[in-house]
Amino acid sequence: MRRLFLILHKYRATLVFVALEFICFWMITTQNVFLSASFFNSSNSAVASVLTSSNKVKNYFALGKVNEELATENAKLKRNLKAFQQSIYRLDTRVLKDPDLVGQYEFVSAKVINNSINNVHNHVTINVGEKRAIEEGMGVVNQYGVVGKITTVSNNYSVISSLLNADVMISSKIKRTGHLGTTNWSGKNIQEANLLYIPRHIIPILGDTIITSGYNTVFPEGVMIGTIKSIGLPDAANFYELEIALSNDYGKLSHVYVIKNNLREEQRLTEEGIIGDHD
Amino acid sequence: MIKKSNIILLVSFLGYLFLYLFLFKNIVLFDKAFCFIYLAFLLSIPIDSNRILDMFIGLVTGLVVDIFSDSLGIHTAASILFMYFRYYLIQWSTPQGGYEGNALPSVNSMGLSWYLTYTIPLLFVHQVALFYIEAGGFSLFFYTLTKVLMSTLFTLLVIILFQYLFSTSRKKRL
Repeated sequence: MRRLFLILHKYRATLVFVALEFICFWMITTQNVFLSASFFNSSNSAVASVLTSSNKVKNYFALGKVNEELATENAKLKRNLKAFQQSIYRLDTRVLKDPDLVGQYEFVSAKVINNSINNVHNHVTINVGEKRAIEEGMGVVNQYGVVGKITTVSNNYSVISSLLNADVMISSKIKRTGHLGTTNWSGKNIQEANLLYIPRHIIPILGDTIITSGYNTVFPEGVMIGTIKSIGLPDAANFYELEIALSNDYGKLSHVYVIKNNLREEQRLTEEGIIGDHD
Repeated sequence: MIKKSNIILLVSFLGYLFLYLFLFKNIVLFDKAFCFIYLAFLLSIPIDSNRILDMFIGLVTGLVVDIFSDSLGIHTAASILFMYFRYYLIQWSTPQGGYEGNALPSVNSMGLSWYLTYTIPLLFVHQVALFYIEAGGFSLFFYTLTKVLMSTLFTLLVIILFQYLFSTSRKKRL
């Protein structure tokens, strides 16, 4: 017994080291459980308020650019609204009249207070949270297209896993042909992502637009992701190797919109009746 | 009575963390070279300090960085590893005749060549751990390796620069 204690005492530093590293790896592997506690990340209110004040300084230098972008977006929206009001033939009358469908999506505007682009798993922190009815799993967009999905929510802040996060998969389609695929970031270049699972029989063209599919409840249909940049088709492969040039500049995010889908729960329950039957 | 050296350590802890979180975190050269300036604090802890305490300091430092960067556990794991190996590096690079009592590991008191042999392996170990854990394995092996090498170099340059900028006590070396 005494010798055991002597050995333990001799190697105590190594034992402490192993124990601490074990805790770290446990935190890394169960990150989702931990992150949803919203203490150990940047949506923690103390951390977020520090980030906000540091961001205020940064913002000051980008004001002109941000203003210009918002004005451009306003002009575009006004143009769309006018075109919409003036169109005589409204084909999809159900979408226009049904109050449930008209109000299906709500957009909550938010300010980015922290952003990372250089890691393999990149996150964005924004200044809206539970008090504005933000929930985990909601989609986030800006005027240039997809930004990411909400992963953690605290009272006044949320953390987004941006598209530049190797774990995020976005259901997408080729706009011209309508074929379904999945967008996933490769982890290297912040201007490129991969489009997976496009089968051999389709003929994609360089420059084809990639948009969200609208098949899940996160993003509405037709949010811009990017355009096809390179096409590869290995001989034995079932799927194309497509690279997308992303439409969004993730290094410059400033204002974003969180998408609330009011029919989310209904769609989930309806689908569960069929798809979720087996589990 | 709180020792003066402890206050200096606390100030450098806050100072280097602040520098990293609000300045150097945003500076990435060529998309690959990172500067983990907070390691300068971990490097400046006195040579004769307690090993286990060292690792807990590494834990706290890493955790703060992780909370700010939403990368829970990654910087913490790397910092603890850093502190674990620091002990061996200090033992291994002991000058002839041993260390003076309460010597500080700095260019001023130990000389540049000692400081380099002490710093480079530690930075390399820290960055190997950090980037390979972050990448989730060895699938991007060479890409990650270039990140490791470039970051080690960049961090080293900045840390050495800071050593010359903030060298207060000009002790004469024997």
